[in-house]
Amino acid sequence: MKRILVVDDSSTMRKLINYILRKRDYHITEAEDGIDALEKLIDAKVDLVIADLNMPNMDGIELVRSLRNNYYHLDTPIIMLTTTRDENLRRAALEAGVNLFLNKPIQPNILLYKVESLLMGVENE
Amino acid sequence: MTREEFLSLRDFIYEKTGIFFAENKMYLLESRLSNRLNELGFMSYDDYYFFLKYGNEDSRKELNNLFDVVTTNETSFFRNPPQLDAFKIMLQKNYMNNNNNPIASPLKIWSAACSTGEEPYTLAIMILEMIELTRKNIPFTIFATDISYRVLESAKKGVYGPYSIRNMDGNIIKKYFIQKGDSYAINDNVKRFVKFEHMNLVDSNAYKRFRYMDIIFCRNVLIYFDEKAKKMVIDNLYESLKPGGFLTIGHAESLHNISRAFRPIMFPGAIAYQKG
Amino acid sequence: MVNKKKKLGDKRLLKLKEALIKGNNLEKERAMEQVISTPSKEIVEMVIELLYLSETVVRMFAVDILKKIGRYSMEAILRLLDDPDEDIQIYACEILGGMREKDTIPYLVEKLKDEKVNVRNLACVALGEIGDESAVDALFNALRDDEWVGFSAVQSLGKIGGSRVVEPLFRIFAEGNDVVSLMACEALIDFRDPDILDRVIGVLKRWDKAKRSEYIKVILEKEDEGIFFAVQEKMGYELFEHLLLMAESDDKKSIKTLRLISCFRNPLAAEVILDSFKYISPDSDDYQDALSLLVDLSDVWEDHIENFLRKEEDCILPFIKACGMAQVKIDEDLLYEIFVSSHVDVKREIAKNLPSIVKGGGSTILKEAIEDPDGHVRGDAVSAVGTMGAYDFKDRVIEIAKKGYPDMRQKALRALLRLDYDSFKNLVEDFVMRGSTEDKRLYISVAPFINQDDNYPLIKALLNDRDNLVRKGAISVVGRFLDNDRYMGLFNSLFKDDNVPHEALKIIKDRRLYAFKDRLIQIFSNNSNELWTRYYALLALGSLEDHTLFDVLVKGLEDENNIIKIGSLKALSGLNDKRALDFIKPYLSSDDDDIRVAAESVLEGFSEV
Repeated sequence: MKRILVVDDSSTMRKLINYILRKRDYHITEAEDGIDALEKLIDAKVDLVIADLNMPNMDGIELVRSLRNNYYHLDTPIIMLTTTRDENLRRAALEAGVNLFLNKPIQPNILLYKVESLLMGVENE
Repeated sequence: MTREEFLSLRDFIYEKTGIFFAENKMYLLESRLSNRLNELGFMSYDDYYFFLKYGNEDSRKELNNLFDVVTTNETSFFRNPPQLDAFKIMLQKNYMNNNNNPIASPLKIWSAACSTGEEPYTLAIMILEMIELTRKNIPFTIFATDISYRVLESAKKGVYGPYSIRNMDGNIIKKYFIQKGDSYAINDNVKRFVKFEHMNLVDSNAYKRFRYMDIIFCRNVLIYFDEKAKKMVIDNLYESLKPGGFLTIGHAESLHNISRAFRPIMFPGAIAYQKG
Repeated sequence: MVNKKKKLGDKRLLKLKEALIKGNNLEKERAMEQVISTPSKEIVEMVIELLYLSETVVRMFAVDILKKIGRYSMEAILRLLDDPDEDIQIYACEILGGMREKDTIPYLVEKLKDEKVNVRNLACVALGEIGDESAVDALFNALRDDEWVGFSAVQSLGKIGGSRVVEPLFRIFAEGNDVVSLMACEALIDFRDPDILDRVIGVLKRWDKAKRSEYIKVILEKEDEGIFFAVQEKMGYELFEHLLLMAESDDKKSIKTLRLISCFRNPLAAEVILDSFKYISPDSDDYQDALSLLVDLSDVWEDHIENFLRKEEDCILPFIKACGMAQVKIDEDLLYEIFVSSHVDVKREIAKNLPSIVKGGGSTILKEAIEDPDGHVRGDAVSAVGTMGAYDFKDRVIEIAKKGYPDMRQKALRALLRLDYDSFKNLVEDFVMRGSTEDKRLYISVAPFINQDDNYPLIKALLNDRDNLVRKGAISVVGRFLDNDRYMGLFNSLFKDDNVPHEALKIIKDRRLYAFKDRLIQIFSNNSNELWTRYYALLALGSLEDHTLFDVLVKGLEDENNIIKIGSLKALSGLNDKRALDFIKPYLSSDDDDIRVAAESVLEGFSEV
């Protein structure tokens, strides 16, 4: 069973993504911000991370950098899902190591498809 | 123990140590204090409380016993290997990479709430092993503090039973301990790197003596504090670190919602918090 | 003067702004605390500027702050809703949601018509957070919007609640499409209404199992007992299967899930609970809770224990505890095998519970345990010898009672008492007449278990012992047997001068020995007597509840020593004598906490009269 970590400070957003991903029998862990996410990752192994960019305590890009600095998450696929359309931030996220930067809202089917492909190791975009 | 007695003692203990007994832990406090009552011949917890507050010289001594029984001391050598592996990685990446420049000042490591000494001695042994392996000399000092004089005495003696050393490799035991029957005494060549001192973590003034630390271990004491005390201790530990220094807390504990000042750094199976 | 003030304000504002932008996280946090505690229009507007900066951390701090103090410049916040930058509009919605001001609802409702879908989405969320009914109609319209917006609208309607939202939510749920339907189901469950729940289950039953399981998961995640039982009634075993799946995929094995599982009283449930101990820390409250669950199910698993005993040590330890608590017995051979192959934790637990869990005499285990290197194991084994009447071990027990750590010796003595009273008596006489101080203290600790006549000569000998604790202990034993004339004689001898042991005074207090009243008054009134002696005499007087003592006790209030004052207050509390009111009232404003508290509690006692 594949495990996915969803990081977003909005509980509505987390719930929505959670419900979308359930269709495919993934095990989902939720975190409120970067620090929460890293603490939950101490014991939990995760196959994919979905993170929002704008979060308090530790924002998305910072989180991605921390993950990429860690041996165990060098290759973990990361999808950044956010509302912002700022090009600079988008570039910064991709540079930090995000696999896929998507703007909300995204169709649930598309999200599922992207998640599935990343989990299967197929490179996208 | 009546509820009133519990509240008076609970507040007294919180004031003196920061350790907070929630109401559902009344039975725990009762059982921990019953020995003291028996020892001193008090018939009620009320009498004991009075003694602590008004008994002058004797009760000041009794405070030490109180601290003893209120803090549980379940430690052993090499506890929680992932956190110790993280410690090794910290050392390798940050403090042992100066090939040509000798390190300006010795490594300062602080084991806060060290109890009977297993943790600081473990860290010392680990560093000694690394020094041997890498053939690099790394001067270091480990400061080890606790609120209980009794455990500090025991730690200074450095004699342990089979239960404490159960997680250790046989070779390490032979190398760093002298065995006499069931007792294992830690070698002097390890002891000399560890300085034991008395310290109360909720006394903000006490941190002055512990500054510019490279690495701080504070495992399994935060669990006794309420949010306010925890925040105060964490802020103080932050100030005690050098920029770039690391803090390791208990495995089951979290800084989320306590402090945003640190940067969490991931290690396999463990997390540490870095300053600045 | 006014200008100077403004300048100071500006400077401070700039400092805070700088800290929020350039400071490290600790400095940002401190600045945030300061800003929140001294809000003003200027500060709000300064913080709003931060929303436009490029560092995400700074923007996030700004949003946090504005949620708390935005109302000090409401127009500035509302203006943000029309900012050309979409991100700013989104922040504005978030902030308004956090502020929870009803007056802002119309503005957010306007935003539900914005052309940008993300703004509409966040406006929906904000309306839900504010939670006021006036937003309901607008949210109904939003249900037909893009899927994400519809989702937020459903959730927000759920948060607002009220009877109007039930039918629309029901329609969406029953359509069974996707995430919106799941959300609607959750929102309906949150009403905690039995009729609604019935209808929901009715719909679920008409769907296929796979689809149904998704919704059941959502319902179970609510972790509400009332809901659970209603569903259990309607769904039976299928629900159990869902729970097992949930437990399997959950890393930390939530205790709530386990509790629900235990509602299905079968061996599989017990096994799942036992397995969960691998993931629970022994210090946590969850450990105790899980143990209770297991014990509760003991009638279901007590005939299937071989399986359980083959599990890892993390499971065996709690299992042994559960057997002890449930008094379930294990074959001696099986238990022996486990004992010798386990770590010390399990050994300790087996030794502790041996009398209640071994099926058989247990001597093979006792033999091992009594010589175990671990002190706890040995101690419990010794106690078990006594409890189980294992006579074969008598000599070994006597050996242990004579020498070693005090608590071990005490256990051995008590075991010996149960095995053979005569041997016990001889040993104890030896201790008192020819033994060390420690031997004598040991006797005192077991004296309560010996009969009065046998104790008498021994206690008499110890009343004059050199050691303080021995004397104290001897006195308390005397206190237990005061009905016996000979012991009363011993007790009386303690009062021959004013240097009365405190122990004796406490006994008078506990037993209300009225006969000592005059003697107590003597002791208390003599100011040259030792402070604590007087104190305890005072407390003892208080316990007699004698109104004629009023004047004596009131005199104590005037003593210069706080301890005596408090003692008097305490003693007066038992009297319920209204005359005391005037004397006590001044102490209600005492600087000393304990005096004040004591005074308060005395007066409390009066108001109940």
